[in-house]
Amino acid sequence: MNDSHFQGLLDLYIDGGLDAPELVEFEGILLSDQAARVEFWRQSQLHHALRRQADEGRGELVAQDFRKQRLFTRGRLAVAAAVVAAAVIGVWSQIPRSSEVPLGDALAGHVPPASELTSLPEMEVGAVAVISELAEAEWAGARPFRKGEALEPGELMLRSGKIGLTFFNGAHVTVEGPALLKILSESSMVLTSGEVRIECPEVAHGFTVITPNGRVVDLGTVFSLSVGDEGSAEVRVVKGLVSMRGNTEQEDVEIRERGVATIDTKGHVHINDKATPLRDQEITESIRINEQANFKKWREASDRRVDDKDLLIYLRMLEGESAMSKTLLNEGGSEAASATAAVISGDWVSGRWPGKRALSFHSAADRARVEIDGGYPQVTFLAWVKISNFQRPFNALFMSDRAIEGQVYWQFSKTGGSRFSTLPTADMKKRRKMGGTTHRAWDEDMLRPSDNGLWRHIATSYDADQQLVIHYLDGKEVGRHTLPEHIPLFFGNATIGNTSYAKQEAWGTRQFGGAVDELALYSKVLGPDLIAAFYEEGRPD
Amino acid sequence: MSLVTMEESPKDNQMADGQAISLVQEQFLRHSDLIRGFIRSLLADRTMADDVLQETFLTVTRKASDFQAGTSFPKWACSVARYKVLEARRAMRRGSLGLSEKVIEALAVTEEAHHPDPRVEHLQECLQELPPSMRRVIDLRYEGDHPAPEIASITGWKVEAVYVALSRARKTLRNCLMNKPNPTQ
Repeated sequence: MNDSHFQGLLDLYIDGGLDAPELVEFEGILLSDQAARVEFWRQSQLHHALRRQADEGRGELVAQDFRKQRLFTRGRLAVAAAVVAAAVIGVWSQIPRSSEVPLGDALAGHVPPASELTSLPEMEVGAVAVISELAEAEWAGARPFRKGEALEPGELMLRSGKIGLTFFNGAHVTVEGPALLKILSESSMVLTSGEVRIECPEVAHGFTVITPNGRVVDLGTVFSLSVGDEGSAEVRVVKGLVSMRGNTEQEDVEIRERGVATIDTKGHVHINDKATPLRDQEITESIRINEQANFKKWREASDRRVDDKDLLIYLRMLEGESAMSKTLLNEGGSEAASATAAVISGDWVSGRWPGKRALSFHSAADRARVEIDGGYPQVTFLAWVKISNFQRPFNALFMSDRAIEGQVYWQFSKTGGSRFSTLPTADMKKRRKMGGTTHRAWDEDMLRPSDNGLWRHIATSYDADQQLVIHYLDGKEVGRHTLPEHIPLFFGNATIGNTSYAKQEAWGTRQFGGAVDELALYSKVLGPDLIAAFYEEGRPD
Repeated sequence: MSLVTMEESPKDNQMADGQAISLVQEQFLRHSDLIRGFIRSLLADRTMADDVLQETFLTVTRKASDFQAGTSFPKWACSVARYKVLEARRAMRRGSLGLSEKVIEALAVTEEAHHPDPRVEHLQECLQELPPSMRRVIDLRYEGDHPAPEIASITGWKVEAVYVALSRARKTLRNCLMNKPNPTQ
């Protein structure tokens, strides 16, 4: 339908600019012309696709609770445990990922292309719950889920162990394996078999569990629910009230505190009078115990590293326990580095375990500072990090200050790729011969947008003699790069979580956009086994 | 599981209901963008459209056993949505601007209503290919969520010029998308 007059009316309709007589004309054409109606849908669909694209780009998660008629929009940092990027795996439907944005040549002084400045990291929308706890979970299905992952509606098959799910409406569900369940929406799920304990704060009332023979709706409670092999369900109300309805029934039945009821295989609800002891506390308790054990294990392992002479910097962020800390203790054993790191600005956030805090860098001012004397031909960087918001072209984790030969940048791109660089030789002739820019060990296979909200272990080893840089993620090598010349690294006054080298700021600042739970810098190359050990000792799950 | 028998037992019917509801709700969530787009195209008022989306979800759940697995869910859900849109239209104040019931009916039965062009997947690429001035007005409209009169005051243009610019930008996007490969082929 090429009629430009109709096109004009259609565009005005879409943009809300039609007046009454134009509307009449518009409708007349729609009624009489099939091609016009087809065109109506094509243009409307483009309009809605643009709208969706923009919602995703703003990082707004629009999740609609169809039952309660509320529309939720969440800013990127609104919900503590819930984060926007969801991993789509296993039995769930695949949603195609848009291609990654190409990067420009920034350090040589060129401004990155416009697409880098305006588009934001890719994020998947549609997540409705997050895995908030994990204890020795074994999964049936394509791959294991991680603590902190955001989930879209879909199936979960837990072979054994326990997990905690926090739905975006606020309900908290602890699942004990073996269990087969389906996440339906931010306020509902299907339990096909297994046992769950559900805790609903007031804002989450109305959370619904659908079982094979009936449904249970939370009206303000803590309750446990188990579904057996034949689909019969047993509900125990710990606190408050639930409402149940069997599939063959017309009315809801309310079960009060301390009440026990079952839904039989014919879809009828029966209230049991005998009171039997409740197992519900066990599930959440064992998760807590498991987490504390992991924290202790890391503490002990990291205590053994402290005071190592080859350890220039070791920040364990244990000061977070007293939230006003403005200095971090450097527990490395080398004389060449300052005894503390100064926290100029930053927020204390939760770390890998309850009780452990981490330092996050978000505002342009956020940073910590250390001083390290001397040049180092062999160096290994290691850190536990959690991305929240990699918005800028460069997100800096560890940067030396002065623009001298050997200045080093341990930094990441908007999509999490490594942007590790060093400044080349001061000999200008030689520098021009090599192309003039920094030496780069850039690698897309480091962090990813889907790591948003997850604790990952990153490491980079640098060997000037071998001219080799190796990157690691979670203890495994992800890439290696050769550098064109032998240059030892110089740190001087270094910045953590940002850059203090003002000259490079043509396109904005470089704060890290995430949190750091542990940071180590060795004056030697740690091989793959040692790096893997670091990862295993400190993994939160 | 149960053996295949000539007669359906009452137990099979119950299981079917629970499963039918799960299926239908899952499908609704999977296609919610399409269904929302369908409703919003017919009802300009955003709040009203969202209420209709709710109503549609509830009705679709109630009528879950009517849906035949294997048939097109978007088509069925949009047919339910159509009734809800008409109901909402009737409840609107007389004289308020919006498509009339007759037009809504005619539009709702068009095949394209529940068949979006899969090439829209390339939208991000086409957006990046837009010349900067067009990209700017598109960003103001969508990312900035500004209606045309606001865009006019932000840019200093006349509002008629804003409508024309939006129209041209979308046309450019359409042409770009038409030249992209169709992923289903």
